[in-house]
Formats: sequence, structure tokens, C-alpha cells
Amino acid sequence: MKRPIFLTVFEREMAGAFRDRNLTAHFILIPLLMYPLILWLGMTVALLVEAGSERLLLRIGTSPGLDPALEAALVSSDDSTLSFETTGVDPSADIAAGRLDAAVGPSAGEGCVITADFSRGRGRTASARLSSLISDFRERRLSSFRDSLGIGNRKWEVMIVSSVNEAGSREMGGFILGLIIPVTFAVMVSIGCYYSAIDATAGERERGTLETLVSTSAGRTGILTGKYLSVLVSGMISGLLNILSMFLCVSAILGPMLAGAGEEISFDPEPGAFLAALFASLILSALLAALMTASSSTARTYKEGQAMVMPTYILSILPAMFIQSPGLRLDAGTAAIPVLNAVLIMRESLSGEVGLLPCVISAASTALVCFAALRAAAILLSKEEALFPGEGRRKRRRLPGLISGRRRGDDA
Amino acid sequence: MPEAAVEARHLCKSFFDDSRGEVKAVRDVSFRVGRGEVFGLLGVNGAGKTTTLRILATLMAPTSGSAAIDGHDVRDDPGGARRSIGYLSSTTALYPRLTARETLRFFARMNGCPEDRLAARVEEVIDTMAIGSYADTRIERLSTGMRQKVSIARAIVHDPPVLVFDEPAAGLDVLNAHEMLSMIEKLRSEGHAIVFSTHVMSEAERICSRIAIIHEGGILAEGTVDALKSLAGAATLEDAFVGIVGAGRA
Repeated sequence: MKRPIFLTVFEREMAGAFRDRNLTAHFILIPLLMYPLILWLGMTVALLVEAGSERLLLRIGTSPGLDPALEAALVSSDDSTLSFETTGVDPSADIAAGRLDAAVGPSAGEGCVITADFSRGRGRTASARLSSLISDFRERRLSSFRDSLGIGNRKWEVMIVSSVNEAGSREMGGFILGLIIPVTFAVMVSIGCYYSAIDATAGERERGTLETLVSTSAGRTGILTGKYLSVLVSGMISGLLNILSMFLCVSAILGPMLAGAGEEISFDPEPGAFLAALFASLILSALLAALMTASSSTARTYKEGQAMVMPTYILSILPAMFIQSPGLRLDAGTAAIPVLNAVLIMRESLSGEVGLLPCVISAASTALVCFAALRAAAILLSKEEALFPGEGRRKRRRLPGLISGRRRGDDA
Repeated sequence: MPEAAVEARHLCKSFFDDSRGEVKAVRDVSFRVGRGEVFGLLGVNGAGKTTTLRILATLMAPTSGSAAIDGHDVRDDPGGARRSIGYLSSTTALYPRLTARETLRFFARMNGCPEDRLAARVEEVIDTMAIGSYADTRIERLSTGMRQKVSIARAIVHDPPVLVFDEPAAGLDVLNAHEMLSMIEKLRSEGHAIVFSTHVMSEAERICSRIAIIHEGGILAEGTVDALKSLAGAATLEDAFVGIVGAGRA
């Protein structure tokens, strides 16, 4: 019994990929470690900035004519990071020279005005802290007026607005995951397919192994199918590892943080969501693998392959960018748009249920594009021009000739 | 003459180059190679040797003329021709991240070797080529000579009747080149028909049953080493080659 060619090629491609440090890094390590690293870096930077900001001593000027009660409240505030001093009527020169970070003085009307250089971090921070202190002073003064007039809180606050969230903690968790995961998922699947597709086509030609491969009696369709499957699986591994990493990071770090802030959010999607995510991963990987394999199939070098696949990479993740548009839902129309259908299935599976019809339409539209792309790749790969660039060209052959059928028996 | 395992009839191959216009890489090349024969294509770089061998390996289609490998026409039945051929060119390479054994298993499967005979055939080839000591080492860690031995093992793993070797000793040191030629002689003695290209006279003189001197795409002379020497009135093959090519130019 003979083993199918596509399986033999697939096995070799995967063995080669898993033994290549660069490829492994791109389709396994980056998707897996990206979120923990981003979160760790983000939190470290935020803590450092906060700590630095707390230690910052800001110099504030108070101009003549400022409400004395306000001036007294500011100077006596318990914010130890602010140092007050009296300044002239126009503090601009002191601020420009950096002797003051901000100044507060009377405005032309009844209020007060904060002056600062907003192109400087110290100026923005000083202004924000002053605003906060002035706002507190305003609240205290209004409360004392209200009390002196004998008006109750209900009459004073004409309209108290509050909101009630009807969504449960699991729905909120799904909503947050649905905002974060789909776009990065599309990018990660693209990255997984990107390097594998180039390695399987241009990389093979550059290493000189393509001539060896096509000199065997194996049919070109079997070879191409094996290569395509390996790119598809790389994309799927990349996408699924990315989702797993994101899910673990969100539930282990973001969940407890939100719980600490009093938010009831559960990052525990319905079991069906995992199946839908798997399906979305499959159709997106299938599509991108086909497009990238086709677009890199005539590249002579790895570098040329990268240049050829890059537009496909950008175009393929573009529809995913529209996912945040309000009112965009998975229906028969959007299900027919490749990439967008996969990210919408991913999003809706996390925040609700996905219907069968959109899934069927998505699978059909993806299959159609894949077939066209792989057919083009098969035709291109069967040409001498693709195998021996510069040596296989025939005069007077232009595009219509180039995309004509294969040689008889090439797929034998 | 023994039964023809390779037959080329009036092969021509032209392609278009932006700077040079139409290039006739092969012009009216005809020859026959029987089983147990080593047929040498002797020529300088760019003479048309590689293009001729690529046509035989079905990697290129002839512009005109025809060729058959073990009875399979390269144009009408390229699959059948490929099954009957073991092809090794100077530009072919091996997968660096596979071991030698994995490489042989892969190419045996790619050439249709049944699973129940695969392991035995791979071990047989490993023994024949004496590559057992590094059979489980990745190709990327092997020396040039070792890689070339694995390349030949790869070309014969499906036991094809015809072997096409394009400058197999190119880039090898003296000892490895000597060993390579010994292997080719051994394969000839096993009954393979071998088409062998080189521009090194001593290689051709040592192993070729017959030689065709090819220049600017066309065969100028064909025969045994002695016949070529006699034709050119020369004492050595090198002198004969220079004389025949010089006369062809004139």
C-alpha cells in the first residue's frame, strides 16, 4: 500500500517547520507568549509611571485676584506633591522658563483659569491635579449653599442618572473577550501562515530542493496539497495558541483586577464557543493559507516571497479591522465576506450564539476562494518559468498563455 | 548496442531572454543510452548539458524533438518517465532539517515505494551507499561529500533503471570525487543506464562507456574515448576535446 503524496509532503513540511527555530518562534512562541509579555510590560510600565508621578513635586503659582477662599483651600490641600507660591499677574514667563509647572488665577468672568504648558508632561499633570482640587472646592461650596438654603439633595440634583446592566457576568466576560480576541486572532493566523507559506514555496526554491522534489514521480497536485495543508495547520496552531494565551491571560489577570474594582465579570464562555472558535480558526487558516501559498508560489527567493505575500497579509487582516463598527453582525451578507466572517463568528461565539446558516455560507465562500487560489498556484507551479526563472520563457507568451492549462501527464 | 533505456531524438530547446533575445540552448541533440552504460555529455559551462538533462528529467519540455526514458515519452508520459529515472543535478539540494534516513524514506514514498517494502529498501540503500554511520544525522550537519552520497542514495532509492547525473562530482575534493565516481561505476555494473554530464576530462575518461562532446547546444562528436581521440588525431581526451570544439567553431 502506498501512502498518499499529500500526506508525505505534509509530514515532511511539518517536521521541517517544527525543527526550524525561526518558524517555531513565529507560529508557536510569539502567539503563546505575546499576551503575557504585553501584559507584564504594560503593568510594569504603568507601575513605574505611577510611582514616578507620585514622587513628582510640582510648582504651582497663584496669581493676584484669585478667590481667597479657593487660594486658601489649594494651599492647605493635603496633596504633598504640589508646592504653591505667589506669582505675578502674568505667569507665562515663569511657565515658559520652567520655574512654574502651572498657575491658577482669576478669569475674566466669575471663575478661575489654569495656565500651563501642555506640551510638557509636568504641565499636564499639574493642570490635572489643580483641576481636581478646584472641582472638590466647588463641590464643597455648592453643598454649603444648598445647606444654607435648606434644600434637600433630591431637589438639588434635578436628575440623578444611574444605569442597570442586565447582562450577566458571563455575558460581560464574553463581550470583553469578543472585543479583544478577534482582531489579534486574525493577525496571529496571518503570521502563522505567512512564514510557513513562504518557507514551503520560495524557501524551497531558494534552497534548491524544489527541483529535487518535482523530479520525483509524485503528482504536482499532491505536492501542492501537502504544502497547503502544512501552511493551514501552522495558521491554525498559531491562531488557537493565541486564543488560549489570551483567554488565560484575561481570566488570570484581567478578571481578578476587575473583580478587585467591584466589576462582576466571568471569563468562562459557553462550551459551544470553543467549537465555534475552532471553526473560525479553520476557515480563516484555510483561506489565508491558500492565498499566501498562491501569492508566494512564483517567488524565487525568501525575500521575494515576503514582498509577494505582504499585500495579501495586509489585505487579509483589513476586514478584521471593521469588527468594532456598531451594528455589524454576522448574517448571510457578512458571512460571504472572507476574513470578516471568521472574526465575526469568533466574536459572536464569545458573546452569544452563532447561527448555522452564516457558518455554512462562510464555509462555502471560503472554499470558493481557496479553490481559485490553489488552482492558480497549481497552474503557476506547473510552468517551467516558475521552476527555472529566466530559462523557461518562450517568446510571444503573455499572460493568457501563461495561465493556460498544464502539460499533459504533469499530474500523473 | 544494448537495448536503449534513454533515447533522445533531435532535441531542441529555445527560450527567450530579455537581453539576449531568443537563446537556443539545445540544438538537434540525439543519442541513445543502453542498460549498463555510462553515457557522458562533455562540454564547457553553458554548452547545453544541464538543459538536455532537465529535458530528460521532464523538468523542461523540449521546443521540438522527443525523448524517451525506459520507453516513456517525456512529453506524453512525464509521470512514467519520472518513475523510471533517478535525477541528480548540481543545483539540486536536500532538506537540511531531515536526517539522511528520513530523506530516503521521504523520496522513496514520493516515488511510489509501497509502505511494506519501504523500510527494507531504505536500509538496503543505506548499506549500498555506506552511509549508515550518519544515517540519523541531519543533512545540515553533514559535510559536502556526505551530502552528495546521500543525494545519490536519494536518486536511487526507488531503484530506477535510468540515472541522470548532472556534474555529481562538482565541488567535491579529490577523495570524495574519486569515491563518487566509484559509486557510479558500481551502479553501472548493477545494470543502470547512466547519463552523466561533466566538464572534467579525467572523470569522463574514467567512467564513460561513450561520450558526446556538446558545444553551444549541439553535439559535435560522439563515440568511445578511443574513437574520439582517433577522430581528432589526439593523444589525450583533453586534446581531442579542444580539437573537436575548435573545428566546430571554425
